[in-house]
Amino acid sequence: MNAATVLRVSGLTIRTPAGVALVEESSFEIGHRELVLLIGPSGSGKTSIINALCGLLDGDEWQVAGRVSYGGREIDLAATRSDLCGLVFQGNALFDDLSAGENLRIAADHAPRSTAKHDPAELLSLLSDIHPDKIVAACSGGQKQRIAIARTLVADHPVLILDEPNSGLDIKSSRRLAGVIKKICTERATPVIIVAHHVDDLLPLADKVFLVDSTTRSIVPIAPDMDAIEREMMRLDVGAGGALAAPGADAGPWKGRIRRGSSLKWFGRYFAEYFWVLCASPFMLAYLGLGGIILGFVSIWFGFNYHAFGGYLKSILHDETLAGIGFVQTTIAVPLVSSILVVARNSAVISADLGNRMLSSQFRAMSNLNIPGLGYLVASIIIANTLSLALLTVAALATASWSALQTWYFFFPDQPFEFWQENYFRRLVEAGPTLFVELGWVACKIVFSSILGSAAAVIIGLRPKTSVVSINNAIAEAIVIGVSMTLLAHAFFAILQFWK
Amino acid sequence: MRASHTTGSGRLARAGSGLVSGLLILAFFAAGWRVIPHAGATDSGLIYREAASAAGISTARPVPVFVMRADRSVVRHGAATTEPGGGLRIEFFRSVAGEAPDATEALLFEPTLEVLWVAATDESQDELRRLLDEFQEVSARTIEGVITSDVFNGVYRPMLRSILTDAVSYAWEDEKTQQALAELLESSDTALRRVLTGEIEAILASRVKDALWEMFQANWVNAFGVPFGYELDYEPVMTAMTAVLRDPRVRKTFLAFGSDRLQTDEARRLTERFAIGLVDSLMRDRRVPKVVTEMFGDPRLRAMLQPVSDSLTALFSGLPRNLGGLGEGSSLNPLAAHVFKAMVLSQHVPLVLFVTPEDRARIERIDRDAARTLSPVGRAEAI
Repeated sequence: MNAATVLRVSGLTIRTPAGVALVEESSFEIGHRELVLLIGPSGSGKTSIINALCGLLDGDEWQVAGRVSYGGREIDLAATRSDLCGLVFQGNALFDDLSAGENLRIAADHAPRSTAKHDPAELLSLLSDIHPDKIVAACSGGQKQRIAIARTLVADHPVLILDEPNSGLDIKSSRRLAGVIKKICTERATPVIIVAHHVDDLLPLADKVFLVDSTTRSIVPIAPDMDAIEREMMRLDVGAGGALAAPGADAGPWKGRIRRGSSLKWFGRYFAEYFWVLCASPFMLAYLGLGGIILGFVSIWFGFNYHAFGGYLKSILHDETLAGIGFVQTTIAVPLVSSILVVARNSAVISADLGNRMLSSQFRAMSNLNIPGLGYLVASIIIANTLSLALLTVAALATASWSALQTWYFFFPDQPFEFWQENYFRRLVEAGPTLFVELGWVACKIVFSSILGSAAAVIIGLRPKTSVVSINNAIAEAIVIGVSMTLLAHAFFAILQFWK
Repeated sequence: MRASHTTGSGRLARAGSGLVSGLLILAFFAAGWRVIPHAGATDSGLIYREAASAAGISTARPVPVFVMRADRSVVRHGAATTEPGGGLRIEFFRSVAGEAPDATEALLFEPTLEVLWVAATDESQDELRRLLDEFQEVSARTIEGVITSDVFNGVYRPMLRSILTDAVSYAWEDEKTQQALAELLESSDTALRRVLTGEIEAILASRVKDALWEMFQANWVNAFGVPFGYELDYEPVMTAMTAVLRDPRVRKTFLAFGSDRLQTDEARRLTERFAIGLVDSLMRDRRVPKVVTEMFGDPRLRAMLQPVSDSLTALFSGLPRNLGGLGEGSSLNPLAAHVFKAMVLSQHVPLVLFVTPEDRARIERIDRDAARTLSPVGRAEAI
């Protein structure tokens, strides 16, 4: 084992944002086919150590020092984020809006250019019982764990780290997983570090065990107590076979699924996903269409009916009343109500979606996989939301006008609809070139409402989440702030619009 | 968000969602197409010209086109714009193209009460006449006392005189009045016409403005009813004319004209046209309601005017109901709406009313000058 094939960590020191030292001047080495268990009591700093090795600690708040070297590369952890290690997160951090296949493809598309082309057969041992189009939510715990491992392997980091991989798995699945990991370690010659609390199933496969000693703030090797247990666990693992396929098995549906492609398509993928949910889904279209219908009905029904001079409004003042309603409806009421409906609903969707991604460490996983997640998601959200509000406002204008016409027909069944048309749109038609100025004001209201509302939802959604309750609170907060900003934007531009 | 495309049922659900979205988007397009004015919504149109005039029709605003049904209810039928040559290009609404197919006669009206009167039902006209009779009866008993009172002569007469002077000028100079005057003088001899169209006409006009105040004082109650078929008392006109004749410069001419000429149909038409113009001007004058409000609020006149006030209230409440089917709980009368808007906003946008030949004859019996007849001269493309 030459020096280049040894993962060497030296002088590792980690201090929390509060200044508490977790480890100080610690060093250890791992061979290129070695599987190492990193154990220690809760709070001893195991997760912080692997985050430091994966470059996931916030350098502005955490103090990290030391050097890590492998394969001819050496990184100063104090100055540079490490990209040597691929991390399989606790809870997997799978992108649950993507299918199993897409979880792997997005990692492949963002892997370093120098990465060798992946042989699907190499991953088949992990994925043979999973269809690429299967949604993540439908996968079992063991399947999710194997997809997460495969995704990390596709990213092709030299070192593989797994954080509590057997958490939540039954003993059988846990043993199968241990076998899979050991197989990867030996066949790919990849150093593997496993952080675990429950080591019974993993110990037989471990080459070394490192203990994070919280009393000495150091990482120390301890002798693995293995013999009898390891033999038994290996027998079970070989006997079970599990989801592992024999070498040379047909790649089947995975064939060609993980080949590298353009990373740009992922922006399109996320944009399409958000555009569908924020604008084009039947629920959203029906929601805005119904809003427009109700608004059109209310404006005509109450505009003509419930007024001290209602009879005169319906007769001698009809033309001007209808012209006024039409103007207010098209330039003020429909854009405002559409903005409120869209911003309220979409702020909830955006904050919930991002909050869930934060809670399940998806952004950290994206960062670890070199995926510009924030860029993909935030840009997609803001563009899709703005486009959504503009298109849905037009849709609501159509349904509101149609509803107004039908309500008008109810009052005046003998009159020609062209007469309604002539008066309802009269002020817009008579406006001539200034019509474009009016439309410009409407566009300002829509764009600013959308950008302010979605930006607020994004900021709120991206704040750290500790529980589902914190996501719920973020949703409520995003709705209130988004709608408030919408009202302010409309009021501001309405004042400018009609300022004389 | 969750990807739903996995299994066959998932793909089916997604395709179903896409289909529903597509149908909703189509519905939005259909709704928008239905309501938004777009090309092809109307026929290409017909060109109409005024039959008896070569001057043509000129107005900057679009002219509304109405059609009168058999029950004399009126609906919008289209819109017209003026052509460079003075014709009217009428485009009919498609949705009512088959409405009242017998209404083939196109009449051009000014937006005044006349058009509402001729479009009113016989029952409405009878009701209005009854209200006018009551008003006339009550007014006759009280008005004399008011206009001869010191308060009226000292405070209100100067204000009303100013308003009336303007109204008289408007009515006298109105095209229709001048046409009626020309018809009256047509039966006189050439020498008289020459004199009246010369310097004496100027003297006559200035004297008549003063004299017409006296005429209005005697006729103002009836004048309100002229558009609705009421006759005026022409004796004050005769008296006024006699006063004019005292002027030595015109005495000789008018002695030759003779008082019997002032009792002909032409003279009656001149007086009617003048009275209609006077009423029209007064109704458009924004000073009138202010002065009338002051008079009716003046404690010195209130007791005298109370009976007139009550009768006037009954008349005014009956006017919109009978002339336009208007009022609380009523439905749309687009003709009345247009006339009301034109009067309130002082917009002299004429209107075209399509009627049956029978209705046209009836309207001409009521007032031969109420409308101008339009004749089709071809399709718009041919012009």
